[in-house]
Amino acid sequence: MTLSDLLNSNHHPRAHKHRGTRVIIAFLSLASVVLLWQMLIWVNQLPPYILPSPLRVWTQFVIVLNDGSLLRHTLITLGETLGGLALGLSIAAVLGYVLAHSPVLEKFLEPYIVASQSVPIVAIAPLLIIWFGSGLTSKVLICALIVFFPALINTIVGVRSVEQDLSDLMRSLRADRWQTFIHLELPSALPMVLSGIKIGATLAVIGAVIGEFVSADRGLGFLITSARNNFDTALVFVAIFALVIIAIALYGTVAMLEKILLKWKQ
Amino acid sequence: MLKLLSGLRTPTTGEVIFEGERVHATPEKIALVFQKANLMPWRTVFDNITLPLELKNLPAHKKESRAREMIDLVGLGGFESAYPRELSGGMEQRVAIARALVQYPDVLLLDEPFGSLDALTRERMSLELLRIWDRYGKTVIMVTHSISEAVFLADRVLVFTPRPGSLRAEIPVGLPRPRNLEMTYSKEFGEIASRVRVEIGD
Repeated sequence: MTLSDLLNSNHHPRAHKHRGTRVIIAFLSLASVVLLWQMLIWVNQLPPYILPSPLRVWTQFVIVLNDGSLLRHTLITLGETLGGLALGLSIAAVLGYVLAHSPVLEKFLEPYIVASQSVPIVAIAPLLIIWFGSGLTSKVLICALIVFFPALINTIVGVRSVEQDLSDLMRSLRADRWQTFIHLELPSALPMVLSGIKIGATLAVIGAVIGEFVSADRGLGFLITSARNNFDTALVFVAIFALVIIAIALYGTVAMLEKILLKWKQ
Repeated sequence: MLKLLSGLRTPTTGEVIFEGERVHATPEKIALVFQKANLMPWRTVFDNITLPLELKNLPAHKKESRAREMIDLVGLGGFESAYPRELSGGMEQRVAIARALVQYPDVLLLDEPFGSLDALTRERMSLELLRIWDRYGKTVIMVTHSISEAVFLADRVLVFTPRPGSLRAEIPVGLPRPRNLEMTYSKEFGEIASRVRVEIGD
């Protein structure tokens, strides 16, 4: 469901019909996956600790939903993700802007930036836990680190995408540094920056889970680890679905922001 | 050439003097129209036109009334809230001209503003420019590669040599005003055009 669908459905009667078909298709798609899942269990005689049935997962979902534990863990992971996203994006935006304007500084920092990208985040996660403890801080830092690189690159490319002719225009209008930033550089870079945020949003969720896998006593990553230790595979499934929902919600929010902010593009 | 006049580029030799002062940056009284319409794609027609005033921090009501005036002048009524991608090439250039005129400049610099338009639109925009100039009555300096356009629009045609660009000839155009398209078929028009042609060489 996109925003433009919502807007269009008000005055296009055909959109209603179209959407009805789409809902039916989505439902059929979901139903066939659930059916296939169930068939897999029946045919192979799989025990629930290998592959729990859809019904078992649903029951587990209702249980953890009602006792509030699912919401608690989800909010923890969401908090880490958002915190890391905000931190990573802010640093990337500021540094990206500076680097876009200073090729010398870019050359100077390039090896370190590339190196930071080549080190697998899973490998540094334990180090960050050692340094910053197993609380919120280390998770936020892991998320920020994973978000940083794509956001930085997109910011640099975005700021450099300013058209020479438009900068000439701004100069001919005697715009000062700040005005050029607000009226030219920011809107020019926005499409690239937003797509950087979109990539970062999904990566940040991964970062949070990695951090929780290494060491944590709460969060969806922790829930997965502890459920696995208890052979509660159904709960692992519930946690995975919750993670997927967080990722989709974040992605969807940025996509919606894109639709509003980049209205001039469509 | 116009980038020199407007102070966007520095000349290799000599200097640009405007009203007794050397030009470093674009003077307040000079406005530019570029080869491309050069609109900001994220701003509507109205917001593109008000950009120069916004940068000068003019109060909203002043911005509004001046922009209205220019929109009427260039004939863009009804397109205020359209985005540049929804406009035709000719309309985009009208916006660009309105954006220049909204600054109430004493000198308007046009850098091949109709170069990317098709022949018919170009002709229509020439007439439009004459009409605007007639009502606005300020100095216009225009660069063009079209001889007929130059002769049709101008009081004086200056012919420049290609690279390095230097002044080769000045040809006065004695055609009466207001001008109309029929004049382009007159003997006088043809004579002036062929003089320009000869000065340009091959």
